[in-house]
Formats: sequence, C-alpha cells, structure tokens
Amino acid sequence: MTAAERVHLWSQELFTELLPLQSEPGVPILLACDDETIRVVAERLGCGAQDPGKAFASDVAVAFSVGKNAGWKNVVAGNWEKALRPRPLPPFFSVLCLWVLAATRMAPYGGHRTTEYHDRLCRGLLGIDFEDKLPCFEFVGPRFLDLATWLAHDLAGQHGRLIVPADPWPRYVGYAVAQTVFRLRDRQVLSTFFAERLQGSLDGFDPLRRLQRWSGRFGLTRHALELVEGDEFADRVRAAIRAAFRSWDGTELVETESGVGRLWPALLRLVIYPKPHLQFGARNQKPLELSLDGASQTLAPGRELELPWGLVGSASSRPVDLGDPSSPSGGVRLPRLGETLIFENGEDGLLRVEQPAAEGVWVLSGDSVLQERLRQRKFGDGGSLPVGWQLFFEVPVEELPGVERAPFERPQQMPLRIEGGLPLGRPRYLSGYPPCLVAGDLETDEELRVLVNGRELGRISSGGRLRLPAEPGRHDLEVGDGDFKWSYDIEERGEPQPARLCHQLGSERALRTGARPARAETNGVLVCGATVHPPYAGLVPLLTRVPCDVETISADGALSAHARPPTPAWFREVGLDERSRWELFCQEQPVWLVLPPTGGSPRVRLLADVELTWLDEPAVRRVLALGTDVDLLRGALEPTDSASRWRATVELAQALASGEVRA
Amino acid sequence: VNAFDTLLEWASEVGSGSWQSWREACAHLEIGPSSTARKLAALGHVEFDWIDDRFAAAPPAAVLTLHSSGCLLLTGARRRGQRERLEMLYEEGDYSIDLRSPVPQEGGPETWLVEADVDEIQRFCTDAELAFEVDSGRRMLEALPRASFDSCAEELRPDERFPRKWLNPRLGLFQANIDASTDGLWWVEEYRRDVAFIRRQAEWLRVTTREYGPYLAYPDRSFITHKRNFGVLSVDNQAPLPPLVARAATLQSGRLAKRDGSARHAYVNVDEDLAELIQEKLDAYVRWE
Repeated sequence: MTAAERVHLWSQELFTELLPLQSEPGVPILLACDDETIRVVAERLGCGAQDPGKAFASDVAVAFSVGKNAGWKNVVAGNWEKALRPRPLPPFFSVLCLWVLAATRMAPYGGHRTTEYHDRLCRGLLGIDFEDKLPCFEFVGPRFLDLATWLAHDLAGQHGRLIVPADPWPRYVGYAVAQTVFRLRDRQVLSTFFAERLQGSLDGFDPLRRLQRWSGRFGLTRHALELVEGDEFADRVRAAIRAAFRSWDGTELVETESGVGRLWPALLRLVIYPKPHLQFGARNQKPLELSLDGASQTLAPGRELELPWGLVGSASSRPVDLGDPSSPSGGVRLPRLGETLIFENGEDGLLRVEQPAAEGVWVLSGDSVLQERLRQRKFGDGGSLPVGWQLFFEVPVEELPGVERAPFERPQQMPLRIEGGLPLGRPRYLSGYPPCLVAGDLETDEELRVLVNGRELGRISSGGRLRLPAEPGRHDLEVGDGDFKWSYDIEERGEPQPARLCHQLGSERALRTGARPARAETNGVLVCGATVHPPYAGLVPLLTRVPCDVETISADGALSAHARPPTPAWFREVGLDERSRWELFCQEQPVWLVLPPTGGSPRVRLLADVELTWLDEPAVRRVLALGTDVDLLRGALEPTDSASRWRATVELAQALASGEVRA
Repeated sequence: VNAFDTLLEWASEVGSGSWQSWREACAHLEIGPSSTARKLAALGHVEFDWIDDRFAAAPPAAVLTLHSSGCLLLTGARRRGQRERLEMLYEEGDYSIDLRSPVPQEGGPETWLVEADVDEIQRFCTDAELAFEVDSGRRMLEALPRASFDSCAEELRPDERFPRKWLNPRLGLFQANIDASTDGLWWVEEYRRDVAFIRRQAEWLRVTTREYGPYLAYPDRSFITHKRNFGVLSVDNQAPLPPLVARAATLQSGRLAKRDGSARHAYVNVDEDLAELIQEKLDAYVRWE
C-alpha cells in the first residue's frame, strides 16, 4: 500500500473519530486530534508503530511531498474547491489533523510558541531537520476555513460547526493551537475524570459543567484549567472534552519512566461456588500479561483471573498495579479495597461496589467488629478464605456502618437520572404516569433549579427526587445552568406493537419454552391468554336466573329436569347472589323452558324458534298437565307467536296421547 | 383502580415490550415484577416469553367458564378507556346482558363480569371486539403435556456468577448457606429473575419453566391440597402452580388465588375433576380433604 493510500485511510478514520454525526446540526466542535486519537485510529488501521503519531506524520509527508523547499505547497494543489457539491472529504484533511497534533505536543507553557510549534512539527513528527515555518504554511488559516465551510454547507452542519478563530495568535500557528484545549498531561487527568465520573452516558449532560464540579480538575495544566474555568471559550472546551471522551478507551493514563502508560481499572467479582474466591477482569481489548504470585498469566479480553488472597491484603491500604502499564496493551490497577468489600448482585453476578443500590449485599470482611455484628449471616466457606477473613450473605445495607444505599447504581457516574414513569417507548410516557428526575451525587451543596418548558418546576439537591409534569405534550427539561438537558413526550394513548405470544401445546418442548411468538403454521392446541385454538366445539349451556328447579323440552321432544345448584360462597366476593344465572345443559337444542308457578299459573318460555314434531312420553304427560292455562314469559318470538307455538305443542301432546300421531 | 389495573392498562397500550421495561413499570408502581407477571398471566391478561425476555398483552376475550359464575369473564388486553367503551356499548346497544360493576381484588386487576343470555353473547362479543371462549381454562389444561424431567428440564449447570438458594423440602424454606453439593431444587438468583435448577446425583438440570421445579425435585412432598367440600385448591407458596396450570385454576372463577394461612394460597371453584387433572399434569402428590 502506498503512503497516499494509507493517508486516505487515515483521513477516513480520523474523520469518523473526530467529527462524528451530531445529535443536532451546528453543534460547536473542534478538530481535537491528539496522540490518543491517533492511537485509537492506528489500532483500527492495524498500525503497530511504537509512535503512531510519527507513522501518521511520515505518511502525510510522503503523500504530500513535504520538504524543506516544497513545504506544504501540495496542500493547496488540486481542484477540490470547485468540485460538485456536496464535495468529498477534503484531501488536505489529514494535514490539518497533523498540524493540530503538533500543537497538542507543545509544552503547556513556554517560550516562543511559534518556534516550539515548528520544532514539534518538523523535527518531532516529520523528521525534517528544520525549526522554522515550512513554505506555504501560511495556508493553514484558509484551509481551516475551507474545512469549516465544507462542514457547514456541504454537510449541512450535521457533523458540527468547526470553531475557527477570527484573529488567531500566533498568527498562523494559532489556527492549530486553537483546536487544542488539552495537552498530554491533561489527557492523563481527564482519563481519571472519565473513569470516576463518565463511565455512564454523556447524553443530556454538559461535560464542561461536570468537569467544573470535579475536585480533581486542579490537576489540569494551568492553560487547560483557565480555559475550563472561564466562560469565554466554553463551546471550545465542551467540544474538546467530547472529543477526548470519544477516543478514551477506559484506561487511566499514568506517567511511567518510558512515557505515558495505561492502566485498566480492575473489576472485582465474588464467586461463591464451589468454594468462595475472588476473580478480576478489566475492559481490556488486548491480552494483558500479568504476574500474579510470581507466576506469569495472561488476562484475555472478556476473561477473568482468580485473584490471589495475598493481593487482597496488599490492596487493603493502597492501589496495586499489575502488569506493565507502559506495554502497548497496558496493565491493571486494583483499587484500594480496605478491610471490607461489598458485593452487589447485578447483571454480571456479584460485583464489588463502593456504594450499593440493592437492599441486600454479600460482604467479605477482615474487620473483627463487623464480623461479630454479622455472625448470624456468616457463610460456610469450607475453609477456603484466608485467616481473618469471613464471608456474609444477604446482609441488609443498613447493617453496614458508614455505608448508605445509593439512590441508583453508580450515583457519581450519573449525577442526574430520569427514572420511572410508564414508558410508551422512550422518551414517551403514558399520561398520568410521568418519570421523575432523580439526583445522585451532584458534587455541589447547591440546590439546582429545574426548568420545564422554561418555567421553574422546583429545585433539586444531591439524593433528591422531583416528579416531572404529567400533562400530554412535549416537555423540555433543563437542570441548573444547563448542566443537564432532556426532552420527553406525554401521550394519552400508546401505539400497541402487535406481538402475539402463544403456548404451542402440540410441541414436545411445550413445557420448556413457555409462550413464544406465534408461527403461521403450527400443530396442536394453541393458547394465548384465555383464547384456545381450535375453538370450543362442545355444548354451550343455557343460562337462566330463575331461582328454582326447571324443566326443558328439547328440539327432539325430550323432557329434561334441571336442579338449581346451591349458590357457592365465593359468589359474594364478585357481587353475585342467589339471583345470578346458572347453567342448564341440554344435549339437544332446548325449545321450551318450563317453570313452576309462583302463586298463579305455571310459566313457560319459548327459547328457540323451532316447531316441535315429536314429544317423548314424559314430555307429553308434562305438557298435557300444564295445558293451555300457562303464563307465557318473554321468549324467542313475539308473545302472540309464542302463544300460538305453545297451543301447537299442547295439540301435539294431545295427538300423541290419543295415538293420532306415531313415531 | 389499583396499581395492577394501571400496569395492565400500560401493558395494553404498549402491546408488547421487554422484561426490563416490565420491571421498570412495576418499580414505578411499587409492585413486584415477578409476582405481578405470574398473576396477570394467570388471569389471561398478559403472556411472557422467558427465552427472549419479553411480554405481550393477550387478545381481549370473554370467557364463559362452565360450572362457574354463569357470567362471561372479560380478560386479555384492557386499553385505556375500554371500560367506558363497554359501558357505552351496553347503554346504547339493545343487548340482553348485564355489564356488572368491576370487582376489585387485592394484588390484581379488577374482575370484569358480564351476565348474558347465550343467544346474545356472540353478538355482544363481536360488537365489543372480544373473542368468545368457552371453558378455556379446563381445555388448555387438558391439552397440556404431563410434567417430567424429559419434558421440563435440560442438562445445564448453573451460572457460577450468581448466588443460589436451596429449597429445604422439610422446612419449606429457601436457604442460602448450604453445601453446593446438596441434591434438590436450587434457586439461582440471576439478574433477570431467579432460575430453577435441580441437582440430582451430581448432575445439574435447568427447569426452564421454573414453577415445575419443586414438583420435579420433590415428588414425594405434597404441595397441593384439594378441599372437596369447598371446591378449593390450596397450594404451598414455595411451589406456585406453573403458568398454564395456574391460569386453568384461576379462570375457574376469574379470581386470583388468595392467602390461605401464612404459607399457602388457595384457588376457588376448583372441582374434583379439575384437581385430578392438575394432579395428572403435574405428576404431583395431591392431598384430598
């Protein structure tokens, strides 16, 4: 692959990394290319150079024929400006990245900034023995403006609005310097800030406000701290923090004898079975070579290693670093553990936490006072724990001195959270059931003002909770001085997603799978809620609420007696009583319902529009006994028609009795 | 209207969703996600897919259960305003029915009953967009395969990351501080929900529908008692009926099982035939009183 081809790849990946699609058009951004960005992109491209920045610079130098005499003249060559809109990524994009990279390598303070810059760029990165401005460097300003114009117009601001100073200082170098806020030392401090405060999402939060509230910010260089604490360059600093966070891999950057090293924070797990022990892992993306109890072991990505008990003792008073932080893949840092470790059951099992959110936790402790207090909950470890340590199960957090339940998991990572409500698919909620704004550790004693649609809803302090408005419509939330912004909708109705889950009882796996998405073709009985397929094909009883025993005459002429069952006690619970309906089961269609008299004549009701042609003997006797002097109740036909039918039935009975009609 | 009615209304408005969203909705309403899932599934309102961790509201249905209240039980999805729509239909339509007042119940949504003449039921159900079902509880139980290790369990070891509890069959209690090599039913406290494993002669079996666990692990122990004279099925709280069995028992009355002393719960209107069917399908040891 040629240098030009490699530069093309560098450009594509750097663009993806540095200028991603923004949530809304026109967000202020910087081209914050530094060594961390280059390292991330180099890994993606499979570049294994010891100093990826130099490898990148070398490719740029070859591709653009950069030299003492030609300088940067090829950076302004070509017809890119006149190309059809929208134009592709500017061919000089990689050069702009390199110019910014050189600026980030400058010392935080120092003598002549222009001289230092060109020294870093030429000697430090390009390997050209030259300490002054190379020819054509004066195009730095127009080229940054070209990039800004391209982003604003060709890409419609979707990838942000590049901040370019109108009057930079130093005159040329200032364009590159303006893209930088944080230097190498600052990246180390920021890595700690990210690890301690930003493991969760940045969504909705103002990263600058969070950095301004973080006590560790004083470790930043004076240059960066002035920018962070001042308001003049707020957009620039926000853009720089976001850019740095994007390229952060989860490690803590530390100074080592051979330069900057990286340490992955250890994640500690309690495993109870078959014997209690501790395991640790990290979010490393490459295998880490570690020495544990004198033995060399490899921590593969996504895997864990057993933690020797000796290290638990060592880490009780100070953090313990494992492996070589200056190696390309880095090392692991075991945090200071203290005498008592708390483990909370979560998605990945029993993980060590500082402040649990759960009500009950597992506790591993070498504190004899605590051991005495918790002795009722001591877990039988079978002698697997080292002397002095004991394990306790299901310990209520309130029984642990000095430990308070967090309002939610990792409250410092997410100082504000939207919780609860009945979501119809976020951020939409069912009216009447809005979410709450919940505060974790706000890192300030102040109460923050909460605005909804520009009107003050209330104030919130650490650990506080505020119910948000429940009225239908769009609600825009702002907390503090723009610390947190979020929008949600409240709706009266949802839009139910059609999804039918069924029990397919014909399947051999019916009892193993339970309800599953319905398939078009299936055998056997299908159950969904109270519906059963195939449909019911048996008899449907006649329901009546008469409070006495009754008789029916069916379409086949058979007389059946039905005894009213006693009213069960549980009827009362559902508001039913002796007047409620009961079931009459008839093998054939019931035509007449015959009821005993209530003081007057016997009563009959026509149940179906069926003309009888036959009556069995009991039915004949019963009809003749009733005769025509009956009370006809409201039935299947109009009263006159019902009366006519009953007369016909009586006549049929008389005919059958006299032998005029035979089967 | 209680929290369970609200949850049912929400579930009907979203139609379907993840177990995570179910948990969050339950947390907002301050009700237990697992017990509520069990209750709403038993009433036929909601179905749960434990493989993909999802729920879906069941289609609205009117169930006529034989040898029961003589009423139609309205179950399945209940979207917002459904009660008002039914009442309007009842008032405006010329039906020979009686839409009874909702009956609240502790720990579950309201029971909606309709008294109707048989020849009116179909027309009312069609107009109200309800599926008409007859005796669906008993029918689903009849079609259910019989429980066994083969039909309910598969060889799988518990995830060692999660704590476990062992069901002591003698005491009827789950215990955490037990030797891991003890045979019997283990409840593994996975993040999503507790999962049932049976340890049998040093082998592990995962019981996918966890409610079958106690019945398979301890076949000699009776968790169920049928009280003939009262038509009551009493069940040990440590061995709740599996979902479709619980639904069959619940649809007999449309009412959830109620507390039966401190350690049991009881279903009403369960006749001897149905109790025998439950015994057969669970392959369980039922006591008869």
